[in-house]
Amino acid sequence: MRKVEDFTKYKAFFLPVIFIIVIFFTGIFFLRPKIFETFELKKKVAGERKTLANLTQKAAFLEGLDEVELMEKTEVLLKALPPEPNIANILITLKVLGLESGITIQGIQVDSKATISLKIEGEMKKIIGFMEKIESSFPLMRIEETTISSKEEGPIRADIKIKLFFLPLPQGLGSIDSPLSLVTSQEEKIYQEISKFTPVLTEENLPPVQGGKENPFAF
Amino acid sequence: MKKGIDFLKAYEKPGRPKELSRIFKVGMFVIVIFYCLLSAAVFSFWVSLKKEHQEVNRQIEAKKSQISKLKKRESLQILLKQRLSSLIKLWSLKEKNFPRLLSFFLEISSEGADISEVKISSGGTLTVKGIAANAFSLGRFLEKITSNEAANIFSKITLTSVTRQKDGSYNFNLSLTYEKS
Repeated sequence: MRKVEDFTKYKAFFLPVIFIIVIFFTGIFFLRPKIFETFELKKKVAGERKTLANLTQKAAFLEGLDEVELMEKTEVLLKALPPEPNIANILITLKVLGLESGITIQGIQVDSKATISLKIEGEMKKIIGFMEKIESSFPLMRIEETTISSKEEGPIRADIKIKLFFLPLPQGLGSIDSPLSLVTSQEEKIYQEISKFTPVLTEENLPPVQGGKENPFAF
Repeated sequence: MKKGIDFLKAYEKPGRPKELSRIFKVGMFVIVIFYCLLSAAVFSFWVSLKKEHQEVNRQIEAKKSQISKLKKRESLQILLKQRLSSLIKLWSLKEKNFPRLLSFFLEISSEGADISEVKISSGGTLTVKGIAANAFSLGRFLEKITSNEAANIFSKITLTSVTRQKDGSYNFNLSLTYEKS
């Protein structure tokens, strides 16, 4: 009889206690993971917004580039700094420059893939002119060492060691969202200087290439 | 009959369980309302984030396809930048100007003092061998080589040797260190 009395006394507390238990468990197993998931999603969206900003900037930058101008510039730069040294073309270039300067090339030695030694003869002014031409022609070359000697009689002789420059092509484009580097004003200035360099090898200067059979009608 | 006091039986204020029950109910109501509001806020924020996530992803895909169409420009730009960056380094290394150095010697070789050999090495040093007809010519040559113009080109000039020949001429050797052009 007393037990029934106690039960009815605490009956009013049952419902709130059940609610609290339900809230506690749904909070632990449902709301809490959702809150964490929301925070993760927020972080993810922030990262994606950043990626989108980079992509938008990159797309706008690429849209603004003049493809024809880019092609012209890269063509000049590939002539200046080829992917690998074409020794045959460089030897022809040096020969043409020698002829233009009025000096005589006594000997050419290819020391390595990137160095050529020259023995030349001529007047001092012409030798200086030849050196100037070497350093302002395509592909880019630089005089590393030189020895100039003159005897009382005869022309001035010079031994010149020339360094050749080449640069392999880039490996790839990289990831799509990687930002593109802009050409700086200093680089633009260098391009302007290089674009003034004279290409020595034109089609006229290149040696004719014999192809096919000889003329069967020539006797 | 003896009357005793039961100390173990708690004193019960009349109406106490009812008051407690009311407080419990109100408290629980507040908790439930707060829980519901929090859940609603979390869910609505999650839904809006999910929508934003989908929208941003859609835009990313659109930009990616736009960039893919401009692949040629991108490769040209990368190539241009790669070559120009390397050229900047080459330009900064361009410290010797051989034609300029040789032109200087051509200018200063005067009557009576001939330069027989000029050696320019990559390390930044020059050695000059020459013959002067007499002491006066040698003095004039040395005066020229230590002029203001030469000071702009060379940082250090050393007369390494002077030898007087039987005929009165002088063989001389100079060592010079050149400045960056």
